Amino acid sequence: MIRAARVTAALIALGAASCGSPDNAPEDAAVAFDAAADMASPLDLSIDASNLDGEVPSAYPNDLAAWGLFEGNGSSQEPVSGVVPYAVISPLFSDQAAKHRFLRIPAGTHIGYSAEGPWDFPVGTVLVKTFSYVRDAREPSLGERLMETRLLVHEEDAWVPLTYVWNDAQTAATRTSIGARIPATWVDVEGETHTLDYRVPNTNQCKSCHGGDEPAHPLGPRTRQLDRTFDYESGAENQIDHLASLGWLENAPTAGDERPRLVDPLDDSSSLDDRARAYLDANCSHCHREHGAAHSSGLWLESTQTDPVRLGICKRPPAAGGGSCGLTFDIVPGHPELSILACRVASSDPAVKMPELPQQLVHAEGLDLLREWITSLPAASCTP
Amino acid sequence: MVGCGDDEATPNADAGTNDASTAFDAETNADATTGDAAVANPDENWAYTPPARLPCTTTVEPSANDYDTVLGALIDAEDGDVICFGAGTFSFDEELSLSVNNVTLQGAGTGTDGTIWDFAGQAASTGAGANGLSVMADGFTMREIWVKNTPGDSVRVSNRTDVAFLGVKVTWDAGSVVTNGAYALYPVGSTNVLVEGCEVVGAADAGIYVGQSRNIIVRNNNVHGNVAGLEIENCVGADVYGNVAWDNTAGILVFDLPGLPAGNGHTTHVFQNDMIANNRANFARAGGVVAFVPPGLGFMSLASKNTEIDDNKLADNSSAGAVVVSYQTVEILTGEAQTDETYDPFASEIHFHDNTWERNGLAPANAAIVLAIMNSVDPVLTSLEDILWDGIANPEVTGDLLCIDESAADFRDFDAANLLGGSPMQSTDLSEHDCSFDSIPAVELELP
Repeated sequence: MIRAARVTAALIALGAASCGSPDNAPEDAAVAFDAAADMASPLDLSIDASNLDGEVPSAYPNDLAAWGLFEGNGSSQEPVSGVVPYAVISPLFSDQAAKHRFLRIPAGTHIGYSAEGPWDFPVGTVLVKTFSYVRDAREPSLGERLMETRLLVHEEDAWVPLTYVWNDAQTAATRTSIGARIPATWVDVEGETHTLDYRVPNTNQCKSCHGGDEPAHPLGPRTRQLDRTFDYESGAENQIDHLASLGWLENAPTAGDERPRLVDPLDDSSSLDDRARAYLDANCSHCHREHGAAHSSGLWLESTQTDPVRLGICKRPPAAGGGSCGLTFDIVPGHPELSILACRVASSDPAVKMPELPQQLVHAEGLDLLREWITSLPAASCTP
Repeated sequence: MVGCGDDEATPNADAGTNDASTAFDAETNADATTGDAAVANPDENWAYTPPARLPCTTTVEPSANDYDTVLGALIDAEDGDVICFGAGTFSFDEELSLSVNNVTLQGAGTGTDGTIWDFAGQAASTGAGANGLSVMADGFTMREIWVKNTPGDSVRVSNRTDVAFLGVKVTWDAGSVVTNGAYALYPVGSTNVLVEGCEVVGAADAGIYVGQSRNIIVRNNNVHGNVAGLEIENCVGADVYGNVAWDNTAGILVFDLPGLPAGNGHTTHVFQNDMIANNRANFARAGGVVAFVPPGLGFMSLASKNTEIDDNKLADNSSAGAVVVSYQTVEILTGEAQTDETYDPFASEIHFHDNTWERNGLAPANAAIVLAIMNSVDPVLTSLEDILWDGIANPEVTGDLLCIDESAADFRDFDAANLLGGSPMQSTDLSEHDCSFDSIPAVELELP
């Protein structure tokens, strides 16, 4: 069941009157009530409605369709003209979910390109990521079950995270701020059926990964993650070149410009070190960096990090508590079995596992990669 | 009754009931410690009177759907809100979080008729988050809420400004066991931190843990049944006073560890505390530095700089009243080397004066370093002193490192550098430490 249903219904019921800004969401009220009708028991309000009245946090639409990002109701994930799909080189592992990513900027605006640093997106930018499960990897015609669509909206003063949960009928996605759990089932290429109580993160969890100590910001759309080919309707093309050809980039790179890029962590043709560092960058460094939520650990794992101590080599954790796995150092070169990092990535205990949020499954391929990498590291004596 | 808070006056009255007090009743306690007799609460009148209650912006009551209602209230909060929580038990199976600045969470008290946040359901829930409550907001105040049974850390506030815990209680129903959360009240990387009137029982690492922070007051708390009762780690400027630390593995710790972004800490003033009968067997999970702490210590400095310890009562700590060591001693004991070149591994400017010392070191623990010290002397020692020092001095400091101005403390320099496999030159001569440092000025802390 969707655990957020009751409160969401309450928000919708109240929000229909108090929340829709006519400009943003002309059909807000009607859509919201449709969505509420989907809920098992919309009148079973388990919280005092007076607590919510007037506190619906903003005028964002409660129905994803009101954003006008997709053809039809969005269930096909086919973007409308002006919404550009993209992919990243090294994805965050998210409990085996597939992802559809899109980008929209206001007409006539531009993105300030940077090779190394973050891109300067114009106010009004909407970044879109839909999480889904392919129902049966052996039968693509069965399609996929959309779980949630996350937006990062660039307002004047901040990036605002919004989350929309797809209904069972796959006809609409409704906004939630407190997250949800949704049962997911999929069949892998071997024909094995998997089930999972899929977690939709709450707004604070969005902020934790996307901001840490800083205001929320995009993670994926950076040069080092986007410098790859994408199979557009118009044909295959490098994503950065494509955005440049659309006229979306200011200071667009020219041919021969140096572009830092990660490698695909699961592509054996790249070096083991590059693969592992790309994996750590995408799966860990949103928190494990100087201004991330795990700043105080002193374990900073961006692909640009060069200090061995910051990378965990022979480094004791300051406050791992039970998360130490009974081990002493984050990484003992040559010894994944003695390395806290590998132990925590292999764990599903909430007090131990890494990443903290919101994955539940251990990423076997990622874990193998990290173990292989630690094994390969040049010996460094962690003993006097 | 549950044997905490206002009921502390009779902690053993309910032996056999299946609640938080069980592990601290006489029989269980004897089993869990190093075999000493049951530990009596040294301060039965401990109590905390919180500041006047704040008017509530909104109130959340317990319901069948506590996670959704409480998290919803935290997410919908606005800057300056006071979110009140009604009496009764709130049950959570996932981490709560707060990202709105200047929010106060105000419970109805920490007695059995107060506000209880029970996170027992989180343990069985994968993907449930690592903390009970994770705070990503400045100007945070939490008061008069009893937090129970977090499988991970209880309340973590990371890299923020203006943090206050007032009269919060944290316990685990299982007593003092390794499966408890590591840190209970856990402000880290923060500036302007106040922890007062809190009671923490059973943390598997440190009950009150302030790490990598600046400008801190920790006062009038009651910490017992933890591994470390109260720990200040890599902090700059902390006043620690009026606390009662008893029946922990070690009472009050001031640590400076390598490899941390905050770098070296310094300047901690520990005064007017009671550090009593901290003899509990160490139940921390192996790996963390605290797991190496031998039972039976009232106070411990590990590589701390500019630390003043005065006007405390240190009594009935079985291994020693106080221990001062450099990080080299950790390396000697563990056979491991730290690699942080910016780290100062030496304890320096440590100043003991005017403390009360009673019956410390009389039954030293069966722990590696303690045994090594006792066995290195012929005839083998059967008791240890009030103050132990590892004798490892910063070669770059020519002045005083350790000053002891006490009327009734005995002392041992146990020469850690030669303790294992060498011939230690131990000394109990206090005359080399007859010196003093300037007193540390009071921390000035003005929270909004």
